[in-house]
Amino acid sequence: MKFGTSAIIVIAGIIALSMPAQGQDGPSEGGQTGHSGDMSIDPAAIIETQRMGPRSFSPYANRSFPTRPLWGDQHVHTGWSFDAGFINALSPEDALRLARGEQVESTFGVPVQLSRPLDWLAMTDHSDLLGVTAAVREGDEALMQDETLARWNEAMGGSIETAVGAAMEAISMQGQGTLPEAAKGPAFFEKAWQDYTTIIERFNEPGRFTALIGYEWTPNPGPGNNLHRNVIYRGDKAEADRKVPFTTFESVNPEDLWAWMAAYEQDTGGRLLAIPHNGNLSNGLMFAFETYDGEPMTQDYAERRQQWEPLYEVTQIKGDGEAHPLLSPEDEFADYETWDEGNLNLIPKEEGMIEHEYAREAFKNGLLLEQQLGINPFKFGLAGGTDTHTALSTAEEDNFFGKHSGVEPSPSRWEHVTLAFGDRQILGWRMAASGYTAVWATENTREAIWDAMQRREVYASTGPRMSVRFFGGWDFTEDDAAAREPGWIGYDKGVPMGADLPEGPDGASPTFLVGALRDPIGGNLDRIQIVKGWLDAEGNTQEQVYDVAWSGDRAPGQDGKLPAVGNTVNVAAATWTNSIGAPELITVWEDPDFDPAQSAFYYARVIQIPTPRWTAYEAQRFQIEMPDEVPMTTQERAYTSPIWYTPAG
Amino acid sequence: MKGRATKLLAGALLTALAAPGIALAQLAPSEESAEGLFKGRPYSPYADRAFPANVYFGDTHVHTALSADAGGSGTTLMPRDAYRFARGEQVTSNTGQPVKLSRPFDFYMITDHSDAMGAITDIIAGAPNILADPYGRELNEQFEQGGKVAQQAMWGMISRFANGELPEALNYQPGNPNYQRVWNDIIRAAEEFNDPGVFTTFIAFEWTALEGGNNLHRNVIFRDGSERAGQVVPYTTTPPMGSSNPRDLWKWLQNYEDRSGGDVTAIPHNGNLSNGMMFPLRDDFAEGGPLDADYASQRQKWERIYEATQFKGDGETHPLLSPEDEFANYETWDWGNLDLTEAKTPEMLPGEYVRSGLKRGLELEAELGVNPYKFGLEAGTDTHIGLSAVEEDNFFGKFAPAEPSPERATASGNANEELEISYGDWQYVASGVTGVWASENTRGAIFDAMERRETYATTGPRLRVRLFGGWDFGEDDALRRDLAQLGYARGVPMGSDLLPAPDGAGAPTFLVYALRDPMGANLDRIQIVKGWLDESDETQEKVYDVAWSDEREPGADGKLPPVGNTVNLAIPSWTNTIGASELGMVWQDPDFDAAERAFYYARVIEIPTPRSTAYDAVKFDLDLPEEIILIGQERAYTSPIWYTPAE
Repeated sequence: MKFGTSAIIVIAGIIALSMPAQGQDGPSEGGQTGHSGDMSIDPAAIIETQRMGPRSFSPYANRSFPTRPLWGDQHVHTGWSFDAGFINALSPEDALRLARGEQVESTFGVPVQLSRPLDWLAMTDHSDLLGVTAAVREGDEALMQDETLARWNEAMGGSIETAVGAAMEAISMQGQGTLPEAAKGPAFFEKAWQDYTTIIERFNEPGRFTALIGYEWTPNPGPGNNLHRNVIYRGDKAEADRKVPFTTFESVNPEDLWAWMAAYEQDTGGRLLAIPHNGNLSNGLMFAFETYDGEPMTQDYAERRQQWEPLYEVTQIKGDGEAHPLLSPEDEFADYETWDEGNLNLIPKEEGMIEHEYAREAFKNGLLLEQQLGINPFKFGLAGGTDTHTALSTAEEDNFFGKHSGVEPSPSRWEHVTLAFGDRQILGWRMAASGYTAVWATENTREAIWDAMQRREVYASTGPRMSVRFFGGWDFTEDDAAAREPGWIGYDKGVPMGADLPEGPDGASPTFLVGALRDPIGGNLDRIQIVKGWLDAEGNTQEQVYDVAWSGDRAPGQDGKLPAVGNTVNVAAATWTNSIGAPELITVWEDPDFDPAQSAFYYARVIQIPTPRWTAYEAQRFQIEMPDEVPMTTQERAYTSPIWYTPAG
Repeated sequence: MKGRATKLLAGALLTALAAPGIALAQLAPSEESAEGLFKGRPYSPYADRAFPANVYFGDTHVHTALSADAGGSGTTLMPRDAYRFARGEQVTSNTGQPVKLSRPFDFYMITDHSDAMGAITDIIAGAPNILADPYGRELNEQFEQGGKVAQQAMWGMISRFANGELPEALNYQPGNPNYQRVWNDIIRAAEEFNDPGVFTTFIAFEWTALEGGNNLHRNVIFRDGSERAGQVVPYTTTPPMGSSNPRDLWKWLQNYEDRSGGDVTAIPHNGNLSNGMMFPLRDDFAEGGPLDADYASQRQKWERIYEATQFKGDGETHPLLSPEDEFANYETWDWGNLDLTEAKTPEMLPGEYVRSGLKRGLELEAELGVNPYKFGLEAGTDTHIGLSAVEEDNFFGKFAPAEPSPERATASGNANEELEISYGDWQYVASGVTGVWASENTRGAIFDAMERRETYATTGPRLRVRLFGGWDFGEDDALRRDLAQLGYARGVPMGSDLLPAPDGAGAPTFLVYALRDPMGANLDRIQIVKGWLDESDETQEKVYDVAWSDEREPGADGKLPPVGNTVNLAIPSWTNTIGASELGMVWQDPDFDAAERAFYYARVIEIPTPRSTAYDAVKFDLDLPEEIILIGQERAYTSPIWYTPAE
C-alpha cells in the first residue's frame, strides 16, 4: 500500500490486462481521469466504525460462536448388538459408511443411502454381549470351539427359520443365565470392545465427519422397564480401551453406572456423559421421585444425575417423549407418535406412571425437586436418536428402514407385531421415523461436539434438518429478529439453549430470540412455540404453550389458539407442496406472565407443515392399503433444550 | 406365523436387552422391495441415483497478486490464500480486514493473467532474479519507499515496457525460466489444495486478449493434474509466442490435448466490454470476412460454456435488445469497452450478450450448418484480490483499493472525459457463482459436467435449479419431490439437445424447479426464455413467466405484477414473507413451430434484497447519492436446451 493506484493501472493496460480503478491523485493520461479513493486504508478505522462495533466488515469473520448445527444420531445398533445380530448382518462399518453419505446394502440386500450425509454418529451397540453375534456369524475361531455357538453359526448361515431358531434359543439361554461362557468371558469382551473402537477410530475425520465412541447400557428391570442409557465418550480409542464398558451383568442401577463413569474419568482422565431414552417405556421409573432403590432423592443424587446426564433422548423410533396428551391437555400438538401402552414388554401402565416418563413433565418436576433439594436432578437438554437396530440411521419419512432388520421395507411391515403382551400389540406402523440430534458446536470434532452436548447446546428433531436458534436474555428487542444475524445478536445479548438465564434487572421480563429455518429439502414451517413450565406461588408445577411466530396471515381465535396451517399432502402420491407455511420464522418474545419469584424453564418447539408420514410412502410404493387408523401424514418438529430461570437468593 | 412371532417376542422380553419382535413373514423383504414393485428403483429414493444428485458451487474466475493489474494495485494475497478462503477458512484481506465466506465453495480455480504472470509480485517482493538485475533492484527499492517515489518508478517501468526497453529479467513470458517457476507454483498450489470429494481445485489461467481495448478474454481450465498441465506453460496474447486471436488459442488448446493426451476447455467472459466482438457475425480477425464452418465447430468444441455474470456487469441481456423484458436491465455495464477507449453504440450490443449470442448462434447455424454459439451458462467473480467475497453482505470488491471502506461507494471506477463516459466503484456487482450438476466433487466429474453444459450461473445466491426438456412431461411431474429421477428418465437436462420428437408429439415440455438458497431470499418467479429463428430467418425471443409465488395473476399486458419489496435499508435486511421457498412447474411451449430452431433456458428471480451498497451505507453510516442502487433482485440463469428441426 505504498503507492497510488493509478500508475499501476496503466501498466496493466499496456500489457493488455483488464483494468482496475484510476486514481485521482495520479497523473492522468489522455482524457482519462478517475478516483478510487486512497489506497492506504486503515483497517482499524473501518473496524471501529460505530455501527459495526468490534466486528469486521465480513459478517462471517471472527465468529467465535457455533455457526451451524451439526447433525447426527447418538443411538445406533448394528449386528454387534445381541438382539440385532441374529438377523442383522451389518457391522459398525456399514453404519458409519451410511452416516457419512455412502450407499450401502441393508441386511437383505436393499440399497440404501441418506439424502445427505450426517455430520457425526455415535456408535451405541449394547454393552451386554457386545459383538458376540457378529463374531458367531463370522465363525470366530475361539467361539467356534463351543458347540452351541458353532451351531448358531451354522444356523445364521442357513435359512431364516434356522436363524430365528438360534435367536430364540439364545434369548432363552440368556434369560436362564446359561449362555456359553466363551461368549460372556472377559477376554472376548475386551477384544470385542477394542475391535469396536478400532472401527470407530478409523471413521473419525476431524472437521469432516466425527465418529464418537459409545455404547448402550441397557437395564430392563421389572422386567421391561426401560432405563437405558447411551454412554458417549469425548476421548479416543487409546483412552476408551483402558476399560471395558459397564454392563447390566454388573448392575441395573443407574447410580452404579454413574459410579463407573466417575471411576473411568478418574482412571483415564477422559470425559463421559450418559443419555437416557424411552422414558415412555419405563413404566414410571425414568423420572421417578425416588432413586432406583426406592429411597427418597437426595441432593447428592440430584447433583450426580445433573452431572452425568446432561441430555435426554426425547424422540426416537419407539415413540416421541416430549409431552403426553393427558399431561398437557391444552396442547393440541402433544399427542405425537405416542407409545403409552406399557413398558418394553407391554406390561400395562398404571395410574401415576406417565407423570414420570415425559420430558416436559420431568422439567416441571425438576423445578419442584430443586426447591426441595437445592439442585435440579432433571436439568437436561434434548437430543434425538433413531435407536435403529438395522445399522441404518434413517430418520427420513421417505427413506425409513425401520427399527430392526426383521422389518425392512416390505408390503407387510406396517402390520408386523413390534411389541406384544397378551392381546396387546404395537404394530409396525406405530414406528416413528425419528429422530436426529443437532449440535451447536464450533467445529466438527469429538471434543467440540461432546462439549456442546455437555453444555446442552443441542436440540432434537424428528428427522428434518431444521436450523433452530434459541436465546434468552433481558433486552432483546423486535429489531433483533429482523437483522438476519441471530447468532451475533443472540450470543451478544443473551444465552443459548441449554443455559441458565443470568439475573435480570428489577421489574424486567425475560425476552427470547427464537428463529427457525426449514430443512432446505424439507417442508415449510407452520409455527414456532415457546413452552414454559414454572413453579407457582403454591409450589405447584404449571405449563403453558405460547404460539410466538407463524406463517401466513393467521390470527389466534377466541380460544387463543392459532388455526391449523392447512394441509397440502397428496397421500396417494406421497407428496406435498410448500405452498403453505414459511421457509423461516423468527421473532423476539417476551414472557407476558413472568413472576421473578418463580423458577421456570422455556424451550422452543418448531412445527412443520403436514407432510407424508413414512406409511404413506410405504403405501404408495407397495401399492397397499392400510386401515384408517394408520396415520398417513405427520407434522414433524424440533425441540430445543430449555433455558432455565432461577430466582436469585 | 404371527403366533410364533408373538411367542418369540415374549421370550425376548425376558432378557435384559431391548428386544425387537421378529415375525417370520417379515424376514425376507428383499426381493419384492428391491425389485418388482419399484420398476427398477430401490426403496431408498437416494440410492442408485445414476444421475448428478448434487449441485456444486464454485468460482471459475479468480486473480491473485500474481496478476499484474492485481499485484500492481495492492493485492498481496497469493493462490494459497485464495484457496484457503474458498474452502471456508478465515483470512486477512489485502487491507488487513478479517474475511470469511458464509459457506465454503465446493470447487475453485486460480485464473491469473498469463501475460507477465508473477512479474509484479517478484518486483515488489524483490525476488533474487529481479534484484540481480540493476533496474530490477532499482524498481524494488523505489517501491519499497512507497508514495511518489513508487509512482515515479511505476511510470518509468511503463514507459520502458512501452518502448520495448524492459530488461528480459523483468519481462515474464513463456521461455523465461521465472515464468516457468511461477506457473509451476500455481500448479503446485492447485495440487496441494485439491481434495477430491470435498474441495476440488483446477489448474487454470486467463488468456487476456484485448483488441483495441475490446475484451475477448477467456479462462482456460485443465481437467488434468500436474503431470499433463505441467508439460506446458500458459498461452499468452503477446507476440510472437502468443496471439489475441481466439483461433490461435484454440490451436494451442488442440495442440495441448494432442501432445499431452489431456483435456482442456475455455470460458469467455465480459462480452459486454467487447464492443460487439464477443459473438460476431463476421470474422474480425480476417478483415470482417464471413465466418466459416470451421470457426463454428472450433468455437463450439472449445467454448462450451460462457461466463454470464461477474463483477464487471451482468451479461444475460440488455434492455435495448430485450425491450419487452422488464428484468433485462440488471447491473448493466454498457458505456464502452474494457479500457474506455471507445464508447458503446447500440449496434454493438447483439454481439455482446448471452441471449443475443444464443440467437446469433441459431442464425449462423442455419447458414454454416454448425452453431458457433452453442454455449451453456456459468459465472465467476473475476476478483482481483484473491477473495471471491461475492455475497452482498460480504462484498470485498474487485481491486484492493475497493475493499470495504467508507469511501469506496462513492469512488470513481474509471472515466474517459473526452468520450464523456465513466463509472463508479459502486457499479461493481457482487456476482457470480457457478452451479455444476456433477456426479461427484472431483475434477473429472465437474469438468465433464461443464463440457456437457450441465451448469448454471447465479449472481451470488446458491439457488438449486433443475431444468429438463422432453416431450411428455405432465403437470403432476412437477409435484414430485424426486423430480430429477423423472427428469433424467424422460427428458434431457440443461445444456442438452432435445431428443428427437416422437411420432405425433406436440410441443416440447419443460420440467423446471428452483429451490431458494437455504440462507438466502425467497423466489419471485421462474421464467423460461425462448429464442428462435422464424420462418423469415429472423431471430426472435420471448420471456414466459411459468411459476411464481403468492396469489398473483398476470395483468392485461400479460405481465405478472411485481412480487413486492420487504427490504429495510436501515438494517439492512429483508423478510421472506413474500415469495416462495421453492417453485416448480411443467411448461409446454404454446408457440412451438416444429420447423423453427429454438433454445430455451430458465431464469429464476429472487425477491428484492439489499445490494452490497446498502450494507456499505449501514456499516459505514453513509448518506449515498440517489443514483447508487441499493436493492437488487438476484437471479440464476440455466444453460439452454436446444431444439433443432429434423432434417
